[in-house]
Amino acid sequence: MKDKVMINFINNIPLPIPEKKIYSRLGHNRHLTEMSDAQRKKVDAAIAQGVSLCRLRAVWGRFEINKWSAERVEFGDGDVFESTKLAKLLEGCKSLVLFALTAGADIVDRTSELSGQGDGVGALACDAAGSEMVDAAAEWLQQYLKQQFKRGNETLTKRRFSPGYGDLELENQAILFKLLDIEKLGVKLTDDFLMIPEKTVTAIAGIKKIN
Amino acid sequence: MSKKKFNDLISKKVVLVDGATGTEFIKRGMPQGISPELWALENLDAVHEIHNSYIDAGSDIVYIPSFGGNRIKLEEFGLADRLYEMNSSLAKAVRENIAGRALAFGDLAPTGRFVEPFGDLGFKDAVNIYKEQVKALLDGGVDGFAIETMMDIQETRAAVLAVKETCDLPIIVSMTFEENTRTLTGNDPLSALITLQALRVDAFGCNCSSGPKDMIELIKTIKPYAKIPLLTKPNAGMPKLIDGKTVFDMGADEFATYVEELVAAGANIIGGCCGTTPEHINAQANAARDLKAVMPQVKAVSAISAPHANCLLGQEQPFKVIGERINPTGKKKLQAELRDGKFGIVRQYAGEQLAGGAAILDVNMGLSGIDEKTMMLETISLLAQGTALPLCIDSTDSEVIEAALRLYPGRALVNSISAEKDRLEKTLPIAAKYGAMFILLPLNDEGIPETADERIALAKEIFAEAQKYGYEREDIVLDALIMTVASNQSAANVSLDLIEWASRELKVSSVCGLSNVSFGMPERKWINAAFLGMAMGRGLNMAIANPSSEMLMSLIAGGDVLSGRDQKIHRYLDKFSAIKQKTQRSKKEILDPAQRVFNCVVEGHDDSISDAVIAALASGIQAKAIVDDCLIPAINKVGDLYDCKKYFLPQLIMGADTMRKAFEVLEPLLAEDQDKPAEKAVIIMATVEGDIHDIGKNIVTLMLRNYGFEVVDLGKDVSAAKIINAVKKHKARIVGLSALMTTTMINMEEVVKLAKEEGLFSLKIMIGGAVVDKNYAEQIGADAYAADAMESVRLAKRFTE
Repeated sequence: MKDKVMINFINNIPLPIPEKKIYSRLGHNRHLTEMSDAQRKKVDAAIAQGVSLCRLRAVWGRFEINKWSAERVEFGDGDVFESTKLAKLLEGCKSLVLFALTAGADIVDRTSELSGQGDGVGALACDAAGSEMVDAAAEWLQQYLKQQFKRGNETLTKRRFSPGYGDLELENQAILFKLLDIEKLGVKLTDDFLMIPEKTVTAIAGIKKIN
Repeated sequence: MSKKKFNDLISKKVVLVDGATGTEFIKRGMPQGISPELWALENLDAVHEIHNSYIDAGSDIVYIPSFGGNRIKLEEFGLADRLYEMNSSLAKAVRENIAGRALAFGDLAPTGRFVEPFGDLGFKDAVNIYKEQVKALLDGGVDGFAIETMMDIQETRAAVLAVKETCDLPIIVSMTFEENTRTLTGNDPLSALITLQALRVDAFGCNCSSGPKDMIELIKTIKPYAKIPLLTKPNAGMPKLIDGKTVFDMGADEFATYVEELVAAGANIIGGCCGTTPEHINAQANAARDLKAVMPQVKAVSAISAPHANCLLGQEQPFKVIGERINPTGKKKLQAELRDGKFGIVRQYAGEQLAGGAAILDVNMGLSGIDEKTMMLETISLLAQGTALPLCIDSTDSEVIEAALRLYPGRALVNSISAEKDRLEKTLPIAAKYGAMFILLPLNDEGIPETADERIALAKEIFAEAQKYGYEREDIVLDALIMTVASNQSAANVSLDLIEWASRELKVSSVCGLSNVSFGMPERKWINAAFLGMAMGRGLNMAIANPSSEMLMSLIAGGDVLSGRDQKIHRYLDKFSAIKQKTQRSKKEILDPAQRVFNCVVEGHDDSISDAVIAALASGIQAKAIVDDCLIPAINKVGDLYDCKKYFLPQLIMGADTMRKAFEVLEPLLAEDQDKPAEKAVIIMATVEGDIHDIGKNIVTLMLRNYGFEVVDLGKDVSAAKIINAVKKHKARIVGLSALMTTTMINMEEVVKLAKEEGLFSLKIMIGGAVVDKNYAEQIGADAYAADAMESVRLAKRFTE
């Protein structure tokens, strides 16, 4: 019955700071690492700066699956993903959701700037904060979509998939860029299908009926 | 129904609303995947049956099934062109059926889109979308509006304004809070209450997402701050997934056992959400029959709010600093940025002021050559997302204030309203419409009165005017209008008298632009500090100031102890206990200069290493001895700590960085001891062609430099030819390559091949990156794989020995 594809933009994703994850990305070992107060203060300040520069924005859209086979999934207006692993994830789903999230250019620019100035701790902390904030935002978006779909008695697959994973070629980024208008988030796709700014993720998940 | 009648109803009893509608529709045959509003319209008998059951069960208010009746939701089903007909017909039919047995409230709910500044749906558009639905429901006939299951404060504000700007009927609002007691978009109940009661909604609370037990706690938390009745519509317990179906399995009797506690916690209106039935409501009605609801305990609340946080004001609260820096006056760099339409410095100031301890951020965009309104709105959008702190909207232009208050997703503080004609006639009604708090400035069109008595008279006049708009003492902050003592030495006393009057007589908060007192004086900080201490003693509890001043913030911490605002002295002890430890340790370090150098490197004190080295030299230790006996053992210890995982990467870098700084001091002295300085080995670093992920390469570069290597960093996305050319040009002995992706790591092999083709057989090539390993290095003929920055250093040392 639903017949209109709507692309939704979210300008700001509210997140608690994933501090533990940022620390562990930096190599911190909860059981072994020992830090003085001064060291912790320095790292905390660098992380706080990184976090403050992340501007988490997202776009998502839902598309009907028209044809499914174990190797390929045809959806929307005839777009196709060829991947056995993705097809397995989408098995039994009537629709799929595509989404993209970015932490924006500021965090990436600042990371380079700090590297250039020889501030390794600052650069590392910014880099780790950017990566973990985008990951946490992806988790949040999945939770949000689950809530959105609940009223229609639908839910989201637990896992998500991205171009470049398994047998889903990186070239498929172009399909997501086309359908979601990802450039509106300030993200560009290079000729090699890399996303700039680099703290950006795209993903595909399935929508299932609850009953 | 008038707001007054609604309040009369609330004051008489615990008011019952209805239970679930969606699940009742499904029970009566509504298929999946269709518009529930359309199904309701085509099955009015079912709607009436459900409402009749709820009314029989005891509901005083039922919701018209117009939940998804807004344009955006209806568009999903191709029904947008039937919006008016569907909403008005549903309202009309429901009202006719219930025929005065209960009240019928129009139901407004989320559009599913994110509203500006959090999403791409313009705030004005969002208000208009709700207005369209509100008008249709009004034409059909409603007694009030229920805005429910909201998960975003800005969308909620849009719906509230849509109703308020269309009619004067009661509005009850409920948001849906998750287990962490925030909505999915991060709004917390207290901030939402502060924002919405300022907009004068008639009741606030929660529905859906949780069962009655969790809602008791939520209501308890916000009740002390509620000047309006509170509402709960819990689910029938928490959802359980049984055989792939979501089931709410709390029975009516158990559901009703929570009523007494809910009412005692402060709920004035109760009902049910997902999974509840007329039986649940009936059980609730029976349980509530003899209970007396707790009426709102406060007439006004001195608080402002942002989407995700709030700030409580008042004499018993901690002293609040309003960060003054987001104001272009006298700041050339900020002025230039704003003229270019850039906000980098605004973001920076917001972050720094938050870190410094500001509780509120003042935003002033008054600058010639820029559009103040546009820039104010852009800044609000930016800060609503970029900082947790509530904002103080600072402008002399009532149009700017109106636009700002309309967009701001919280309750703001307006800076300021005086007895000037324009402010009283224009700004005051605007502030009142949005329920903003305001800073009362006791001056008029004739200027600033000289004496405290004259200022008091003006303050009374402005407050009396504000009371006509519903303002209470808690809603205002008096500005003590501090002038510089450089031109009039009695200026400070006039302001101090005013502060005392505000806190002791009028009993309102008071604020001042602190640094004004010392304008034109040398060493202004001492005058500022002395005035702050005196003013705190007279009752000042807020200041517009720069929180990056450590002295100022420390004085405030001390003042809060003396005035009793820091209860049990917790905040003061938290702030200063760390400093005490540091001071003790510093004393020890000073005793042994060599040990101090060693400790600096091991602990990564790059800011004090230069002093430590100079002190060691002064004590008679030779430069070479500092290197051999302090620095090298220290950096080796850092390496060992890293190897056994007691240190992680940032600590390793801090140590190496500190060592580099020590060498900067020592190098000229070491050079004196040598006839010819040793030539450093050159290393070329690059992220290979096609790859832009260079953080790893950058860190390795830094570490190598810190360990004394000369590194030529070619950057990212570098071709093999460019790398080999650089090797030749710089006579490099080592190349370090990084790649993060499987699609780009193949370009490492190109570099290895080209080096061989060019006859660079003694060149050592090491590789690193998340996707490569030792095997890959061997496979492509590279000399080594470095798992991390430390290993790169070790390899480089080995290759150059």
